Parts: sequence; structure tokens; C-alpha cells
Amino acid sequence: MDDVSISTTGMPDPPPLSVLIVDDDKTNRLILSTLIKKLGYNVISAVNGEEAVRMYGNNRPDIILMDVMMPVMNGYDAAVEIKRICGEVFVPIIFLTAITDENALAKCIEYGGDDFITKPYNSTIINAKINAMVRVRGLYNRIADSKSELQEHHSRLQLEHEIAETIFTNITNPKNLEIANIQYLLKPMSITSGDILLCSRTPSGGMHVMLGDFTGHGLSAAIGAIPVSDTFYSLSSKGYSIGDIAFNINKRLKETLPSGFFCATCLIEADEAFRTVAVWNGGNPDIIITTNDAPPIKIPSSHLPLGVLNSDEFDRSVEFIELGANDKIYMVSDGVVEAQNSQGNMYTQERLDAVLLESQNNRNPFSAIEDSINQFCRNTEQFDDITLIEIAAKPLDTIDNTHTEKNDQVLVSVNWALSMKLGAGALQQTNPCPLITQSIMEIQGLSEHRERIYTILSELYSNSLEHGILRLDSSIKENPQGFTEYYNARELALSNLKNSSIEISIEHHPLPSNHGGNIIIIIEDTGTGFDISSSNSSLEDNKNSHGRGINLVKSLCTSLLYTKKGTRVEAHYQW
Amino acid sequence: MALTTQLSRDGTSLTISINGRFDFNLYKDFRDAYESTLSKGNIKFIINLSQTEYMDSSALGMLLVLKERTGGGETAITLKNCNKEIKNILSISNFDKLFTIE
Repeated sequence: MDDVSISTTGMPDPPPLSVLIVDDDKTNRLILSTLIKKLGYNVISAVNGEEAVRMYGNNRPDIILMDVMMPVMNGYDAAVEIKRICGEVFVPIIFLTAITDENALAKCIEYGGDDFITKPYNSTIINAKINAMVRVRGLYNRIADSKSELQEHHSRLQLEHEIAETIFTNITNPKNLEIANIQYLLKPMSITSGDILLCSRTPSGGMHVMLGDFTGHGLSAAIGAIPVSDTFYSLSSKGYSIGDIAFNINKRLKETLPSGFFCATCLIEADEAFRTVAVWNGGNPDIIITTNDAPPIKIPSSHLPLGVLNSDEFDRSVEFIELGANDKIYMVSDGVVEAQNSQGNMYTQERLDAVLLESQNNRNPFSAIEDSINQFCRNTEQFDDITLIEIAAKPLDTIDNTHTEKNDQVLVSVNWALSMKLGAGALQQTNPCPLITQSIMEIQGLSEHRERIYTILSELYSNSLEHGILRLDSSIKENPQGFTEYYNARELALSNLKNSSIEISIEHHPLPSNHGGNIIIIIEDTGTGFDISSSNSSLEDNKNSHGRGINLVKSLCTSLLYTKKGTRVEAHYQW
Repeated sequence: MALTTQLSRDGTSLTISINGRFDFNLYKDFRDAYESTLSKGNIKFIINLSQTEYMDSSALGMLLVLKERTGGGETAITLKNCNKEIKNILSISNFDKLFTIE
């Protein structure tokens, strides 16, 4: 090892590459190492193949110059062994050879050599060949670096996708949709969908369903899905309407998401009897309602998607549609109408309409649509998430509620009271029922009773407002288009309202045992009053066309009493 | 080129023409197309969609970002030469309320 030497002069920056010279001839080694040191490289040398392999292992030189014919182990075998040890790292091996036989030269390459230099040595050629190899080595290393970087990126992306998928599946847990009157189809394009389907039962026994379609897929959609589903479930369970839900989701998305990112959304709200639905469509294809033996009703998008407008520009207005017993509501994401077949044609809204028209009187139009989409898209790559939902207008009280929350604890029964007086302005812009119900929940923690309390409160409040103050005639609602007419009359009367007020008082008294209590709800309005006996009967009829009426309230309360010509009502509810 | 830009001779308007599909793949090109012009201030943008076959929701998102970058005014952006399908997409999303469409 006497001729192993390391150059320390003229060090460029970064440190010079080291070259391993393998030759059994001492003179050759000397000539070569002098020559290569002059070129500015560090030099180490070995006397045969076996030593070369060992030195490669110990010193990891950057380039190897290898003689072919050597004792103990020849150059070919050493090259094979060194390349095996290198694995993924590129270490150029240049064979040094006197051979000019083409086959022998080819053999050098075959055994893992990268180039060869024929004797006698020429300084210029050696320099050029080493430089070329340094260049190849640099290129190789850059590629190897980017490859491992890419692999790292890929596995991080994979992990993020999995996180996104978990978040999305947790949020869009289809368990909430396992309700007997709903059928749905969710076909995500990638692992995670950009479509979201949410369903919740409201405190008054009705139902909210939302179909959302985010810009994009994957992680960004999953991030958007968090505030959307949070807001949806929390407001829905507190008895807020879809107008409020749309307004609040829009606000949260606008505040939290980068601009250009939004959620096309359909929201529907059905009452428990499923006789009317309220609809809000912002940016999704038409909502379609099929009825027996009549053309389907279409509700086109009349709003911008959620997350686009500022709160002060937002339009929360909804459309009301009356439903018959066999009606079905269909909502789709644009992935359905824009689904492509193998010729690149789109499925289109027209095709969906045609399939629905043809199959609406069949037993299962949903599966007809599903089949039609699958048939159309067979043998093609899916470009967007496909979501389809059918909701049958069946009274919800006949359907088990599988999505109930039972997390609030009942608190110790105590004495308390609250009251609220709403003047004309307040009556125009707020519905106090969700807030009061929520207050009762916070003070007394009666989540199991929430639905009943909310129903009593909202029925009595709307009677007081609509019949006591606004003096609306509920018989309007018996006409076919009555509900819409009634709603418009209500809006008009409300906007002209002056000098009126409604006072709501809630008292709570614990029962003597301290288990349970009595809630007294008193609602008094400044209206002129009405004939209690005739109003009572009309309110009972009301049950058929809208809501559940006073009969239901009676059945929920231990006592219900209208006094002062119908301007004051007192209801007792015991828990 | 899927996207070409042309500044009007008087320098007051920039026309961005989109060829083929207007979707997420154009995200960077579209942004680059207007970003350098924005700094010159008070420029009208004309998005020429005559050669555009299809527009997805991310394209709508890109238009929203441009609108925000121009200050959100009503007249700063005009969508021109929309075919029937593009018009339909703009009307379903109600983006026709946000942009001037010719």
C-alpha cells in the first residue's frame, strides 16, 4: 500500500473527486496516478481485483480505472462485484486495456464497465473520458435525487390522501342516509370525492338534505367539507331553516377558503308529513320532482354556489313546492350530466330528463337512472364525481329515525324563567323559536325533548304571528298552489307590519320530586284576536295541508289554553 | 397553445383566448396571463371563449380569482363568444350575475 497517496494540493470547491486506480503493474500505476493527480483528483490504488473490491468498500471512490488482466481477481469479476455493492449509486468504471479486439472491448461493457481507455495512455483522452464520466455521474445523481424526492412526495401525498379520505368518509358517513325513503349513488372519481351528501332530521320531525359539489377533489375538498358539515348538522339539529343553513355555510366558506374555491349546493327541507319542501339551488343541475301522471317539476339553480358571495350580497330565499303522496325528489351533481361515454359525448340533462320521464311510473326509477348512467359510461374513465339521490315523499313519522343525538345530559331540575318581546322589526327579521329552544336546552339540557318543545313553540308562535297579527287565512292553503300563495301573502303582510309585538315567556318549575319539571310557555300578541272556537277547528284542518297544527300541540301538552279572545295562549309541557 | 393573450394597441384591454378545455390544467397559464398586466392598473380583461369547448368549476374559480384581483368591479371582466354549453354552465352556476357576458 506504499503507493496509496492522497493529493491535498489545489483543492477545488467542492472537495475533489477520488479516483481508484487498479493495476497489477507498478509502473503503470505510477504513470496513471501522477497523470490523474495533475488533473486535480485524489488518487488511491489497488494491485488486483480483490483489493479493488475491498478498497471500494472502505473508501468509496467516485470513479474507478480498472486494468483487465490481473492475478487473484481479474478486472471483469471485480467490476461485477463492485457494481453489485454500489446498488443504486452510480460509480463509473473505466477499463484500462491494451486489447484492441472488439469482442474483448464489448466484454468490458457487458461486465458492467462504462467506458474503456486503450494503452498507451494519453493525458488528453484520459482527462476527456474522466470529465465525461463526471458529467454522467452528476446527471445520474441529480436524477436519483429527484427520484427519491419524488418518492418522498408521493408517499406524503398518499398519506394526505388517506387522511383526506378518512375525514371525508367520517363526515359523509352514509349512515345518516340510511333512511327508508332515500336511495343514493356516490361514485367518486379518485379516492376522495368532491361531492358531499348530508342528511339530518330536524327537531320538529322534518328532514334536511344537502348535496354539495366542491371545486376540485381530494384534500382541498375534504378541508371544505369540514365547515360545511359542521354548520349543516349543528344548525339543522337546532331547528334552523335551510335559508339560515345556506347563509351560514356560505359565510364560513367565504371566510375560510381561498377565493376561487366554492361549493355548488342543493338544499332541501321537508316537513314531517312531507307535504311541502323548501328548496335552495345554487349552482347544481336542476332539482327534479316527479309526480304521478304529470310532467316532472324542475327547480333550476337560481343562486350562486356557496362560498362566492359576501354575506351582505347573499340571497337566502327559498322556493316552496307542494308534494303529493307518490312524488319523488331527485338531485344530481354535475358529474352526472357531464359524464362522458367512450366517444367523448356527455350524458346531458336532456338524457336524464328522458330517462326520468320514461321510468317515473315504474316501481324503481332510481335504478333505471343508475343503469342508464352505468351503461352510458361503460369502458370509459370517469372525469368527475357522480352523485345521485332520490327522496320519496313519504311521511317521516312512519320512518324510523336512525340519526338521533343523545349526547346532552339532563341537568338538575331548577326554577327559572325567561321572556322575550319582539316588536314589528324583530318579527320581520327573526324567528325566535330556534334561539329559545336552544336556550332551554342550555339551561335544562333536555335534548330528548327538544323536538317536542320546538314543535309546540313554533306552532304556537306561527299561529300567533300568522293568524293573530298578520290575520292570514289558512284556508288559502287548501288550493293546489295554495302554499306558495300563502307564503307570498305572509311575506307581504310581514313587510308591511307596524306597531305590533309578540311576547314569549317561558317558565320552568321543578316537580316536587326534583325529577322532571313543568315548562310553561306563554305567547301573547297585540293582534285583535280571533274566534277561538272557529280558529281551533280551522287550525285542526290545517294539519292536512301544512304542518301539524294545534291538535298535535294539544297531544304533546298537559294543558293548552287560549284566552283574551285568542291573543294569549298558555301551554304546559311536563318532562 | 391552449391559451393566448393579446394586449390591445392602446394598452387598455387584454384579451385572453382559451382553446379547448378550460380546466385546472390551465391554472398556472391563466394566472401568468393576467398577473403581469394587472400591475399596469385599470386594464379591462376580455376572456375570449370562442374556441373553448368546455369549462369546469375550477375554471369558474379562476375567473373569480381574476375578478378579485381586479378589485371586484362589474365591468373589469367580459366573457366573450360563449358557445351554448359554456352559456349553460355559466347560467347554472349563476356566474352570469357576476360577469359581463357578450
